[in-house]
Amino acid sequence: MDRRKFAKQSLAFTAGAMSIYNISTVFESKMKVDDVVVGHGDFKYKIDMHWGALNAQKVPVKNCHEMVQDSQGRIILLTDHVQNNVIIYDKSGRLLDTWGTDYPGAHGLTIKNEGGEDFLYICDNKLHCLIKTDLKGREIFRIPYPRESGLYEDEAMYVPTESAVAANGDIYVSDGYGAQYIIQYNQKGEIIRTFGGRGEEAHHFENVHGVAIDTRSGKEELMLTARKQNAFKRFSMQGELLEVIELPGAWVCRPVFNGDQLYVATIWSGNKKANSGFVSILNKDNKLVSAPCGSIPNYENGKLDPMHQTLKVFQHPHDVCVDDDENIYVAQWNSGNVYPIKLNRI
Amino acid sequence: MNKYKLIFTFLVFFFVNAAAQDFQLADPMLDFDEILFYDQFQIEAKLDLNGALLRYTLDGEEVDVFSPEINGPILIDKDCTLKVKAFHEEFIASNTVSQEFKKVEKESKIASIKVSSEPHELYSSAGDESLIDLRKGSFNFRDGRWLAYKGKDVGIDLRLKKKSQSLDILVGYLVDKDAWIFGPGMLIVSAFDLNENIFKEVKKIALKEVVEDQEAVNDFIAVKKDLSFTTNQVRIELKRFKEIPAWHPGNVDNTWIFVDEILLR
Repeated sequence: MDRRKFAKQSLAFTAGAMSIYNISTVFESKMKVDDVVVGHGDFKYKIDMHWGALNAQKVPVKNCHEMVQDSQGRIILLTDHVQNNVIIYDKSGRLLDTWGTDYPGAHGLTIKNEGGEDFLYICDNKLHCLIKTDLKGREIFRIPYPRESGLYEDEAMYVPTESAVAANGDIYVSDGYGAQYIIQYNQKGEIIRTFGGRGEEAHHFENVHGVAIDTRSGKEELMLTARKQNAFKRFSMQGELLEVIELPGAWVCRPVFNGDQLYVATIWSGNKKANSGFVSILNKDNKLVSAPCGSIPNYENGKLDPMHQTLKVFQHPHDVCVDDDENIYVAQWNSGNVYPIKLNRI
Repeated sequence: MNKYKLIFTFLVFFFVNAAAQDFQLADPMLDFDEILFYDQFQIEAKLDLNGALLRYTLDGEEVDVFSPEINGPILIDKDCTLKVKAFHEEFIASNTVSQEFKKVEKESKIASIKVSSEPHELYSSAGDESLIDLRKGSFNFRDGRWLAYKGKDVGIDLRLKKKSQSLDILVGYLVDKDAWIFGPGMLIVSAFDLNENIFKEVKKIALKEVVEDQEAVNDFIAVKKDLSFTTNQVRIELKRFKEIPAWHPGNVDNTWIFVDEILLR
């Protein structure tokens, strides 16, 4: 009898004892949630699964789409639950305020300090428009679908997912679930230009899900998500393609800048497998340096190895918010109506 | 006795709840281009997490801590079901990842193929012949290999190179609820009786309706049967589910059938 057969038969004879053994082994050897460290290199984190958990009867969430931190240090969450589209926390996860009942497709959340006051830009993909509000929820304006561009027959074709606001007040909106254009407006809401769109060339997009202003080089540039193409695409502010940053296996959401790093939630890995998300951190050269709950960053001949989930902490991460202590808050889409998860930097 | 039972129950409850706080390893990644092969080929499996150990089986048995460890590419030279599972001393073991691989002969036993329905223009591959090109469609339904049909059943007629008194057929299909692909609901295989000059039903297989938490499936439906007559033609009918399940947001739309590859062995 070989070793394997002997071991299997022995186990059969001691099934009851083994059950206890298995349970106690799990208890003794498996690491507790609070002790688990995720990430790589200089970017490692402990996980707080309970940050921001609220009474779901009073302050429910559906899809938690995006998060930002305001100039007072508060953490603002956008959900498509119309009982409270906007939930405002302090950094400890304590509830401070809620508002918003009119945004059934609340998806993109961008914050911009204008003359000392913070304003929010919300992309609603069911209302097919961009909405600007103050932090109390008072609407400043709405920008409807860009009919004047001639690219859209009706508003149903326009399904915006994200916006970014440049220093000069120009607003860039990515039509991530629609026709894949980026529409550049001036601060009055007048169209300056459009670029991108669906197609096979490098400057085209499949799921231009996110847009952000990248100032790490000392000047403003656009970083755009090509989610289905598992890549970011760097553009000039005038809509010229500068670089494609391949992230094989990573269905990335919107880029978020903090210091010299680009942070991003990856909603799926590999072949769009359900519940396979993780977080990624790229350095100033746009090289992956850490992937909390994802695979070890490794480049062969300058090409990144395909990324994949390694630990089931997240289901479908949809956005990250990096606070002034460099902790990360992760908002999730389609993840059982859960509140955000916090990664505390160590 | 009751006292011991109570202690036992408490311990189980305590340990199980403690374990429930732990994290589970993600599913290992399998890296392969084809699931059909001629002689032999290699598959890589990985989970890039420090301390993770992968184990595997090739005989369909569940992977356990006694299964062989993966230290490099896995060599496959015959039909098999590869199962891989990840272990780590600090985390709960992963789910088992399973994939079938089929060894095929370089020369097909099928002389000709004719599909009765027109495929959707987006998923027409290289036409009917792509069903017998020995290149199976992948989990990526847009990989150019699949023939897909929306809102209609599919009939496939095969003419065999040699007469036969037995059938060993594999019909490849795809289910991917996230892509609104729910696969065939029924497969019917008939063979032409050369003596009586009629098609006779050989096998009818009903497939289960897709459930909400079902992972994508890229698999074969197998029909293996000895015949009481001699045949040189086989007819395969794929019947669609009449509607997308009520729980799915695509419930209002027509169902798709994605098919590739047809193997005769």
